[in-house]
Amino acid sequence: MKNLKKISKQKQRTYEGESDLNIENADMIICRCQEVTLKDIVQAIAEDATTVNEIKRRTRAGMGLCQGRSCSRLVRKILAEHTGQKFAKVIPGTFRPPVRPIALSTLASLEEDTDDKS
Amino acid sequence: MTNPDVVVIGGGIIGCCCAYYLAKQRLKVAIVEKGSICSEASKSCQGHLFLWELPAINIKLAKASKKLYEQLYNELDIDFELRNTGSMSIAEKPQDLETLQQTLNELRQAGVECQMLSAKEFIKTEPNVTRDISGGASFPEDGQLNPLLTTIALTQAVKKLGADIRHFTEVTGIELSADKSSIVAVETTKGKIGTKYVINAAGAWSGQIGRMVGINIPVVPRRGNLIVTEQVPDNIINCQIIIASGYLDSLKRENKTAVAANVQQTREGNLLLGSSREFAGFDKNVNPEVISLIVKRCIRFFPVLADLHTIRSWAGLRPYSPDMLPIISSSPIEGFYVASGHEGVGITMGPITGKLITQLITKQQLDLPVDQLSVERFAEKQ
Amino acid sequence: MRKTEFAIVGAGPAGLSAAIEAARAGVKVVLADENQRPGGQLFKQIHKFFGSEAHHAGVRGIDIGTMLLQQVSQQKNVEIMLDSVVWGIFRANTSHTLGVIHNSKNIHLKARKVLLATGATENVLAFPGWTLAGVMGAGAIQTLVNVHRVLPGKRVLMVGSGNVGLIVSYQLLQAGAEVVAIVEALPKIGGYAVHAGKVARTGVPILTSTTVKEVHGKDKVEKAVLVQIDKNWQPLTGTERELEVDVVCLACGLSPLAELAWITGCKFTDVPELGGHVPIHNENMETTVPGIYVAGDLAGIEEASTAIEEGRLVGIAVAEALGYLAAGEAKDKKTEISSRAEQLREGPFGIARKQAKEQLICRSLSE
Repeated sequence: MKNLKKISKQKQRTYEGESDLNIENADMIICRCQEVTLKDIVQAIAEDATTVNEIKRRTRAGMGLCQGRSCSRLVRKILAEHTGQKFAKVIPGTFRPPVRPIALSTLASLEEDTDDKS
Repeated sequence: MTNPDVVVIGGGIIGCCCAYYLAKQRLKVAIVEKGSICSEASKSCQGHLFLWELPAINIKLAKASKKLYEQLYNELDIDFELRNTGSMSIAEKPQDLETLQQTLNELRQAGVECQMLSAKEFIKTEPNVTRDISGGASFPEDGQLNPLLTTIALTQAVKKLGADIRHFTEVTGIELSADKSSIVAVETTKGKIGTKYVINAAGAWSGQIGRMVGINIPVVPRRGNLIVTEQVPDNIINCQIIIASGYLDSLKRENKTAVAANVQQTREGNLLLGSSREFAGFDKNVNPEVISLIVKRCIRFFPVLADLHTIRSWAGLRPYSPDMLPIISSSPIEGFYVASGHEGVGITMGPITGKLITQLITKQQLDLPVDQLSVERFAEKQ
Repeated sequence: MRKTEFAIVGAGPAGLSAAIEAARAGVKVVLADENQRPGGQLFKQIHKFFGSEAHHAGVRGIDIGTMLLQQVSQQKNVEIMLDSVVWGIFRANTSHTLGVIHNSKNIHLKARKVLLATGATENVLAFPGWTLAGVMGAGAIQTLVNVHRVLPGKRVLMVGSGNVGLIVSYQLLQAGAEVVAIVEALPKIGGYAVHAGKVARTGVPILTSTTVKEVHGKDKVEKAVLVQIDKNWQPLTGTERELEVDVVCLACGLSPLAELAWITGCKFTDVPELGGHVPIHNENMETTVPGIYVAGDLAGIEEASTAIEEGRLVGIAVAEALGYLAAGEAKDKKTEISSRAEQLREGPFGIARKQAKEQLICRSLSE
């Protein structure tokens, strides 16, 4: 049981066809928050990701503090380039509240409704 | 393209697990998914392998499933972040401690490893927990994984085994033989797929698929909201899964809206704060009151959370079956199988569900008896 | 839970104008903005605007901002919530609830009508080294220079020759920085000739068909490598040149800041002339979600002057929908505003936007 935890930390994510991938600026960071590189994103596309959401689930691009505010457009561009979709047709990933990071104490500070007629 | 032997409807954890074990039996499988792989309940959850949800049959399924995950961890190419985290439960008030003690007695009889903890013992393990608790329990067998990577790992493996993954393809109908006794084809928004076997793993939508063949599957969506924090150090909580008393109560069907405190830390360091249960149809929007209540209750137990930031919240639809037991079943229609209704334990029970469905189809010896899980238990309600 | 008739998100030119018009008709308005002062980007605009007199030509953006603030402060029906982040928007039967953070409190504000006037976000460009300190957006630099009076560095490379790139270059020069070059990937300068001329006369080279290949530096920008590109955007080897710079300013265009609009579930369409995905809206600026309106850059990247007209249009439309204006009166006002907005969309730069806007409204009819 204990071993599993250890292996889990050592085992790295491996991708299909990793060695075949030859792209320029492969190590360029695309998502700063999660340090996702161009190579990571192109690999996800090579594994059939066709949307920003799918790339996010595979690579964590856009899962960080800024929630893709700066990288989403770059990811869309890379998707368009590597899948042949038109850039304008690649829609951004799903947006969810909160649109800015907020302190948990603040989120919890909502007054419970006592009078809805106010 | 040649016709597949089996069409799996739904690309969540259940569908992916079914596809994996079927493909390993050299059956030709197609997964048909209306969105992308892992885009509904499976992507909306905490990834908790929950090994102490009664009744006993659930515990048997969960334990067998956990063993299968350990095998999958070695078989699959992607590290899906499986960890033996164990879990802990907090008893808030003295009466919660009593209830917990009774639950533990039942759990032990069902074969669950578990231990009661005094407040002092609990606080020693979790220094950040509020002093205002009555005690708790620990469940060393529980685990955690990353559901997104797990489904991706499974789909990659099934692709290698020759399966066909048709995402963004919605099932619009199922064609039966003239005497309505067997499957002929699955109709989709992208054409008809001839097949003899269909597995309904459509989660909250499995009732709609059932209606296409006239089988009553009273599974309805039960919404859950989650809040995720920024990445934080791993000493906020020491056990990565901590659930406060009130959770088991929140599972009960009488509650139209129920909120519990359930704090879990992913391997990447984000905290996932849950949980809630609401019957709100297919509306997947976050309920702003509910997320505030969840966070409030989590801070009640871990005041240290107050200063952390949330970066996102979301809601997903659990496939709720009225008796809180999953459906792992053949059906009166030859070739039509149901793998649904797992409510909050879909991730936990994914592999065993896939394995049992495969054993049903291939007529092999079953790892566990499934009579209690048959879809026919709902037949009289038709 | 607080309630109001009309909630506006964003106190820039569109939001302020909508508040003024709606309140004048008698509507109760709450105007929320995440900044400490209202006015949006207007207070960064220290240059004079173009256009006809009706559109404040010759007036500086900052003065238009002051004028709008003055007008809004005269309206007793408008409550302005500053330092207030609208973090989410939720459907509540026929109305909408905004989640607002104000003074570290989570407030639910229920409104019958909502205007999203959240503006735009700057596009980034990725090249090796783009994450180094010293690579900044033009908006951030404008705030530093024009609002806080701080120079971001000494030697600046401007990327993009649209109006923003040209104006910010000129403002940097005025503030005492050296603009080493302006690069433009397209074969011709993007912005108005007036702005380009002003910058060119100071001796700043504007290099067209050129892009940033990479940026080097240990902890911050020290050097930029430029390269010429052909008409297929492919770099021409051998044309690389190095520039010693400590700031790379990205002025690569704006996109509508549409997060809240996406959360409402309203339908979008992609319109390159308007900066990308914009919410489909009708002639009242109402989206496909009833009661949710958009105006300003969120409804398509244009200018402060068009944002003002669109905001006013929403103000009138909301007042009408809530019964504060009779149909006839509203119609007259809307016609007048629309014709002013039309005039703003004339000329070589405006015509494409005008057509795009017309198509957008046509689409809304089929939704």
